[in-house]
Formats: sequence, structure tokens, C-alpha cells
Amino acid sequence: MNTPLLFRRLCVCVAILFVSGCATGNFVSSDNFQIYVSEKRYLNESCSTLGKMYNSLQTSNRSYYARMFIGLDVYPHPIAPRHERQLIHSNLNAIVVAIKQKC
Amino acid sequence: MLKIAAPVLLLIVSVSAGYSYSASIVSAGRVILDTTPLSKAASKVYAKITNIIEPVRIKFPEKQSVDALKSSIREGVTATTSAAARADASEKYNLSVETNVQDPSIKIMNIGPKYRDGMALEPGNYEIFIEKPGYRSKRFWVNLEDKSNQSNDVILKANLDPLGLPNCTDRVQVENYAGALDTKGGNIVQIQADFPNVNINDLYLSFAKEINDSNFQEVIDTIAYPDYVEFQIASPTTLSEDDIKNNRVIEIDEDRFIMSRVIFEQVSSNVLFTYQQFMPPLVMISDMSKEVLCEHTFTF
Repeated sequence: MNTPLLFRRLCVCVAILFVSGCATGNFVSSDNFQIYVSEKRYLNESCSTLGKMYNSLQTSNRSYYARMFIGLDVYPHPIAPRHERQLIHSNLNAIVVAIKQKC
Repeated sequence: MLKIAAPVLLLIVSVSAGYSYSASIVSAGRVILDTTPLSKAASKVYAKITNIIEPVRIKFPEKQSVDALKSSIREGVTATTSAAARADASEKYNLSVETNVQDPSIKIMNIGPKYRDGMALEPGNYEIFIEKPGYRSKRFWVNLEDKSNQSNDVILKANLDPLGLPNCTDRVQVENYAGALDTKGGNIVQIQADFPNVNINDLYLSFAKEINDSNFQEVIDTIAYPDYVEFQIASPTTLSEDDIKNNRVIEIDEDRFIMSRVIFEQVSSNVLFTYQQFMPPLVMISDMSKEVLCEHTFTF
């Protein structure tokens, strides 16, 4: 199977699923979707750990560390870039709040 | 619960090369940069969960009194000493547990004898476990102190909450369902609900029991604090409503699965429940209704 054909079939398959999902009418995708990150998750950490967490999210490996902090250690798949950026940002914010409150 | 799309993943992306970091950060009592094979990590987690959070310790009586003493010791649990004739301080206490349900199962976990109404107990600490099908169980410690000038009749009143979320469809919020697909990475679906007037321990233990009985989900890890509990759960990418209703045994592919974070947070008297599903690329939920969610997911 050549690549264009594979891609066309994939698109059809995805489109069917997408329409099916939308057709239920109860829910729609949200462009303003915000991934919820709890500050409580970090408020329970020690100041030492929070400091390490904060520093790790400043490195070039921040995507990797953000995944670790939310328990995606064993999850082998990439996350959509827009969600991943938000995950990093939201977790960093929560860590900063936790540091300000308790350290 | 959720009907997950049939396998449409034709582009398998591996990021396994990134998992070679050495462990250096310990979070919530576990090394979070240490990766563990799925099957190994998922084993016997329920037993671990039940031991993670120390059940609430209740010191009873909190003060001496010749009249009835009623102390609010925990949401849904009160304790009373009657003004009935007291025995010598060195004598035993007569413990009675009263609940709002008929014929509950009551156990004292740290002693051999079975519980019976008014049973005599030496001063000391006792772990009480109350359960009844259809209700969330309660588990907590009481401390019976050896003090003079007080009654030896102890009555614990514990209210069990029915399983499920009241007015579920009105309380459940689903976000990013049918979110736009991205070939570079997977979508995230988020479900949130607010459980009114409930104790986080009762709720997460009830959820833990349910997830432990599930044949198509595996708990990989947990994080537990007094006001925050998180489960990390793997489930297959193909799962029908029928599979869920019948609790079918479905093997989880370690190379391709949906990862869920289930979070419980105590917010004053309520518990905020958050359910985040991380989908592999190009996998999405093809059908969902709040009615199905409430019938099959919010049953704890």
C-alpha cells in the first residue's frame, strides 16, 4: 500500500469517528479547553522536591519531566503538542503557587 | 462508561528512548523518575491503596463528662457516651455502632472477636469498618481511653452514603470530547464532577474497590495525601459499552493503551472528582452520553 492511499484511508476512518463523536450532540470539542492541574498535588510536596520540580521544568527536557510529574511514566504515546504545552505551563504554575505558599 | 474508538492508529510513535533517566526526585513517597514495566507496576495495587491513607483516628472520649457527650469526630460519624451507670475505670467499654442502614456488616479489624452490639472492649485503639452493599463503606479508628468519672457505654453513629453521584447528569462536565485529532500526538478528554457532602476517604476507597473489581482496567500507580488522592489507570483502546456493562476481561496492550488520571480532592465538605483520559494519537471516543457515564462510571 503506498503512502497516499494509506493516508486517505486513515482520514476517512478518522472522519467517520469524528462525525460519530459529534453526532451525539451532548458535547463538543472546546478550543478553549484547559487541562485541570491541581495545586494540592504540589502543596503536599516538600520544598526541596518542589525546587527540583521547578528547575526540571525549566530545562530542555521539560516535556519529559511534566509527563513524569503527572504519572505518565509508562504511557508510551506522544500528547498533542497544544496539550503538552499547556500541561507544562499549568504544572509549572501550580508548582510556583505551591512554592510561594509553603516555602 | 466510555466507548472507545476502534483501532485507527496507523502511525505508531515510540518515545521509549526518553525513559533512560536516572531517578532523582522522590514525590509522594515514590521515585517519580523511575520507570516500571506496566505489568509489574500494576500488580496488587488495591492492597497497597487501602494501606496508603491512615484511616481517620478518632480519640474518644475527647473530654470527661457525666452527661451525654457528643463530639463530631468525622463527617458522617459521631460518638456519644450515655449517662448510664458507669463501671470502674479499669473495666471495659461497651461499644455500640449505630448506622442509618439496616443490617450493615460491622467489623473491628484489629481484633479477633466479631463485633456484636454492646460488646465489651478494653481501653485502646480499634479500627472500625462498616459496609453494606449499595453504600460507601466507612473505615476509621476509635480510641477508647481509660478515664475515671465517665460512662463506659460508647455509641458510635455512622451514616453510610449511597453509592453514586446525586443528580449526576447535572453535575458532570465533559470537556474536549471529540476534540480535534492531531497526528503528532493524542487528545485528552476531561470529565469533572463535584460530589456534595462526602469524605474523600470514603469516596476514594469506594472507587478503589470498584476499579479493583474491573476486568478491563489496571491501576498502575497512586498518589495519596489527606486531601488529594490520584489513581493512574491503564485501559484498552477498544472498549464498548457492552464490554463495560458485562465487565469483560480485556487484555491491555502494553504498547498501546489509554492512560487515565483519576483525581479526588477534598474541597471543604465536597470532593472534586477529575477524570483525564490521555488517548494514543488518532484514537478518540466515538460515542458518549452523560446517562451512560452516570450509569457505568459514577457508581462508586
